[in-house]
Amino acid sequence: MEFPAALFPAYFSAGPPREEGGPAPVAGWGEHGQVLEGGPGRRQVKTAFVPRRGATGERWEAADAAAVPVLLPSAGCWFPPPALQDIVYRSGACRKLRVGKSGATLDFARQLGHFFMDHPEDAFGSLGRLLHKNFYLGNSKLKRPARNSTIRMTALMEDIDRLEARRGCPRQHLASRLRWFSHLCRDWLFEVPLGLLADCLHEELVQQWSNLLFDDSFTGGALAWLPPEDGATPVGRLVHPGGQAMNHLPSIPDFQDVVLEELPRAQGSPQQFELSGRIRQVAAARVDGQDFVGVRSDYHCGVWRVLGKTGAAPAPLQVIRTDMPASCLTVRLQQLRHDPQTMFFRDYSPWRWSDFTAHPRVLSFADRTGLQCLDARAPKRCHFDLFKVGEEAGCQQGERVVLPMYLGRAHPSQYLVTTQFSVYVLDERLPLVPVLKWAHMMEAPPLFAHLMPGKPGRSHKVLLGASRTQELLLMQYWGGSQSACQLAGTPQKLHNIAGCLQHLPTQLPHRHHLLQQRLTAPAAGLAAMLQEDGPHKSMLVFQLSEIGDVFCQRLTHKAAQPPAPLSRDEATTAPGSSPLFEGPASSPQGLGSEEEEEEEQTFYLSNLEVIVDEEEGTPAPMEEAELLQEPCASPEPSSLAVPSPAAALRYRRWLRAFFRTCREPSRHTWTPSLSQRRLFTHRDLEGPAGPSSLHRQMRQRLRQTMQEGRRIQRWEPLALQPPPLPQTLEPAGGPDPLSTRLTAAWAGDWEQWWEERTSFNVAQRQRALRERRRRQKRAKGRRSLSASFTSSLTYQSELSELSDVGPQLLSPSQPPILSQEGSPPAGSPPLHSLPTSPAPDEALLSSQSLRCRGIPKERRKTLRDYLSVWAEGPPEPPEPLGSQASQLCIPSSQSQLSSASQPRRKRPRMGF
Amino acid sequence: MDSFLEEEEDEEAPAVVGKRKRRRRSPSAQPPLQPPLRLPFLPQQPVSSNEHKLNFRKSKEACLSYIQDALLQKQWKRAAEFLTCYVESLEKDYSREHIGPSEVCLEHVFHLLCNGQIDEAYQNLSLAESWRFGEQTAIQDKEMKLIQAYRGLLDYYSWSKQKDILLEHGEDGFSDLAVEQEMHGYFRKAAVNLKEIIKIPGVWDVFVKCYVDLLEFYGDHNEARQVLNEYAYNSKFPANPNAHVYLYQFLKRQGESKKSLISALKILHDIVPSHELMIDFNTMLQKSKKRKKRRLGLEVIFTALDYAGWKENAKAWSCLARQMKQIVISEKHLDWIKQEWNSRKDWWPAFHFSRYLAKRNWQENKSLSYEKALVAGILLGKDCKYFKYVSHQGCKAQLKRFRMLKKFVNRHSLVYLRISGPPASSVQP
Repeated sequence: MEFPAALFPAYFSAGPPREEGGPAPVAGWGEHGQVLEGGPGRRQVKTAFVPRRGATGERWEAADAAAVPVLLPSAGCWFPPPALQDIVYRSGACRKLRVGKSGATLDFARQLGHFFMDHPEDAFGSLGRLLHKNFYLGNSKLKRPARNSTIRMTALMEDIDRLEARRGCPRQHLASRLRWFSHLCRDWLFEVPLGLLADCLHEELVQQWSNLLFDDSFTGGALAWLPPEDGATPVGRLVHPGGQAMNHLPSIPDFQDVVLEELPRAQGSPQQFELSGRIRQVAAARVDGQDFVGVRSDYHCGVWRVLGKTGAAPAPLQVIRTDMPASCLTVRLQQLRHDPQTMFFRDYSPWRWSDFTAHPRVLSFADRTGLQCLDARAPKRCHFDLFKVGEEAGCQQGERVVLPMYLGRAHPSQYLVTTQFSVYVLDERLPLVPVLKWAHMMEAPPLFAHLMPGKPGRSHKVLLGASRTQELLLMQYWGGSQSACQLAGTPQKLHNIAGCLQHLPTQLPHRHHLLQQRLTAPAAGLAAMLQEDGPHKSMLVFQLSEIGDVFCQRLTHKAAQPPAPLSRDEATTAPGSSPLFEGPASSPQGLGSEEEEEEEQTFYLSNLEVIVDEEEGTPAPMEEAELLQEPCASPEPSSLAVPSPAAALRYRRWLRAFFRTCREPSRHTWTPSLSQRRLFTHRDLEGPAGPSSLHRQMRQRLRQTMQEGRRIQRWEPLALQPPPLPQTLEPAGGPDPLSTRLTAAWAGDWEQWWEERTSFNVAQRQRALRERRRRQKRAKGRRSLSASFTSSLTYQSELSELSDVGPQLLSPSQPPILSQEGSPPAGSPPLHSLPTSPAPDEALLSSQSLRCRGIPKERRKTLRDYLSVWAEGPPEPPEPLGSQASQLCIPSSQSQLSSASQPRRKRPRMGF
Repeated sequence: MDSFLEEEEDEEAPAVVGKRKRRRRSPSAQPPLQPPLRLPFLPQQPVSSNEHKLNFRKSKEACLSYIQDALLQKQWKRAAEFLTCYVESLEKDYSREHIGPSEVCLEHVFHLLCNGQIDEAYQNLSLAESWRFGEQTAIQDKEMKLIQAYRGLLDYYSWSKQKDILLEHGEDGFSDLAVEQEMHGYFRKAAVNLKEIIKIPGVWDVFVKCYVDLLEFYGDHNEARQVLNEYAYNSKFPANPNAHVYLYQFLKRQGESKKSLISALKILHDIVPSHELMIDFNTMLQKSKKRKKRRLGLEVIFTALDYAGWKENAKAWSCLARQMKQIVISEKHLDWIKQEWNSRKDWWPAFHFSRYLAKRNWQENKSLSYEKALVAGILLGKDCKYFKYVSHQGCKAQLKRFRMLKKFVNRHSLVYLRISGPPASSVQP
């Protein structure tokens, strides 16, 4: 264990941080710090100097445009963490909008309600016992003497039961007896001391608030990577918390085998252990070739031993319970220090941390103010200060330790300390003076760090990760033994989870919102590994979000030019494909697992046509293109890089699974459904089978008024006939394209509208229509025979017999749309005055139903064409007389027969 | 120290006033809930009434963050463009706190030095030294000292170059007076500047080494010793192991007595028990005739081997093995081993003598596994996993050394009982 023969020069003074110190104006960029005579040739002609910072490091480049998901989103609901708006005061209306939809529910009344339901004994126990004698729950009548002091509660109970049955019904409050009772009792019946409750609530809110600003519970990160044991098999293990609601419910650490291909993929089903608490930290260590995994939740810590063989179940070793929330986990557990105060100066944070050092019996102990090394055999006597927030390390005011980490795998006596401003590398042998310091410039404090030790002659890589902003930073350094520590290369930002949002296909706004919420959730851990395959070196970086998504990205080492294939199997499969991928953004892709994905891939690519074209057509270097694109001040770097097909496929699958998982709960929460049966008697439901003519008329009017953009002042059906429409039959006079499109979209027929618009050829349209009908027919094959009955001309007579609601057919009024089509309202005979009724059902055009009607085959087509043309109707009825004809020949009283299909069938007729 | 607590008070900036105000409004019942960590991207300067200044700073900060973003993603061109804007804005900005010219100069010099442009760097340093600007702040003062020190360093390199030339020529019996003159000139310049900086507490390894080299060349050993002592023992300086190493090396060069060498290394042992010089220290102590020193030697090597960094250091293990073998053969001072072993017997077996390590050491380094097996055999007896595995493998491979080892351990198998046995009676009558 050598110590560098000479260290970089530095001033040293003790005391609190200086006032005027602030971040350097250039925030550490491009500074050399100090220089030192370097190189082995000490007595050579020219003295060579090396800088403390700014030496050339290794070049690592992202292999893909964004991070890709490793696992599919887990099923079940997820609660987004509380946001700022949840805590600060908002107006009631605003809150109402939010509650129950998305976002954390901080609805206090509801939570108290839950508490009453879940812990009735705590809430009502003693008063319940007191009042026990005065409440009677039986069915029989109360006798005289008892009646003076006892209430019969049976009716109330019935009301409650009924209420239970109607849960979700907005009209619950109608149970007046209940209201009366709660009004009477709500102040004294429960025994939760409100003052205390308010205090607790307040405390919790403040805690949540400070967590929003900076949540340190995930310090260390809840993701661990167990590398393959021998290095030969490309299968490692990822340990990460999973489960449904990571916020509240028990969550589960998954031991997931991950196959390291071009894009790592999960293999087999994960092994799961259910723990009783949210997992805050997962730490892994390899001791004598065996992997140990430690898991920390708020009040429990547990250790597992992981057997080397893939697929073997890890063995739980020990679980420890703590009284205070644990803030740190290393594999050793022992009381080192008991001190409510912080070490070097007063800081309120209860956060503590501990880690190993070069000496197995000496452990480090940290709080926000600094870091001490304690001999575990005599922690009170033997200790020394390793790091102090103060002038010794050139700290700033307000700087606090965020994450200490033992860098033993890189150098046995090195330590990493991150603060919200800087990163320090410390050497135990020279305490208090950082051997390396660098202002990391991250927006949020780096809560996670991961070390990838470099082999002799190569740099050690340290990944820093922030939680809230998901930042990932890669920095390199070397030295510590023969030479002094040096920062190598410039730090580099890696893709974060949220970064893939821009590469996903465009979504509907609410889906986009969901997706955004999901992808921008704070990070909860990071893991990484170096993969060396001969001359090809690559780095895999995994990032975990608080919701449980694990995304990964690959970085390739750029030493050899041109970029070579990355994995073994690929070297044989894809040497010829390089020209396509030689754009700087995408290095050769291993499409190792494409056998079964072929089909989906092409499908997806058709979605991405434009982008794919770009990739193939313009292999311009990214910088140039960027230069053209953004003149000066776009905060987001527009990356022209597109995800590789393999990544795109991943996104697609992930998205599909994601929307599948988040659809379920939303359906429940959004639409409370009422059972008709409870609301109406059977007789009520028996009434008129379809909407009355009045109804139809009103609807008609409503639509028309909407179309015209007017208001309806009064609802009297006959008093006020709307003025005749100014519209003519010519398509030019019809509604403007935008409104037709919108109405079509509103009515759900947007697709059809589009077809119509794109193909004006009537025959083509008819064909399309027929096609659609056939499909719909297939979908609802069982649909009414009676409906098809009525479609036939020959069965008109039967119609009147079938419809037992004859009188209603004689609708006195004419819908306005008719008048515009030129048929005088009053002039038409009663039976034929129903052209308002919708177009014939699709079903009746099917050849089968026509055959049923006994229509000869050769005439079926004619009829079908005829009908379909009729069905087209406006917006641009091609044959003006069609409507006239339809009035005459289509009895279409089916509206009375099947009310369910009514509104839909109306549409084409109405020209929507 | 209380100043740490006040920092929140004076820092309110309009950019986040809303946020902070709200937080502050939140309640009197603060106690268990700490003031949150001050985060980097909340403004850190005190409020200024000057609106323009604030807007300016905001835009400047935004620009800086763009630059940073571009740099972090290695988009150099984009960064350069932003940088141009940034520089322009800086030029118009009179409100900003200035960067000391000395700081810029130093960075420039570092750049030149790293690119091998030593002469240009020297010129720059001399130029910077002559600058005078306004009143000097403490930082500027420090930077000026550094500038002088680096100039001194470069002077030293020139000096040593001249010295080499002179020595070469001197061998020919020919001396150049001008060169010598020049050399002495460099010496004076270097010495003055170097002497200044090493008075101030800090890590000055390079400067101290150069200065001592100069002094030694001119025979000023007292001054050199004083400088080194000051550098090593002044409590205002950080506990830099190199300071002690330099002192030890100086003493060694001076041919000082074993005693003073040992005392220098003893101090190094106290601060950095895992330093690589501990092997030298142990060797030196083992050779000593004094029992106390040999005892210390054993402790030194045991302590060094506690550290993870020494785990596979064959040299250290052979030191320990040798000394233990001596003790076992002489059967004197077995209690030393016992004492050392007492505090380690609960963790060394797992830390050093596991079967896994036996396998690995055997594969990677046979002589290491030999030394370790000897130690393990003595400390843990012949049934110890490590010893068993290694001796078995050694015998299988027909290595004589290992057969001897087995024999030795078997012969002294009782030692193990005496070392690990609980009652001290058998050891200390």
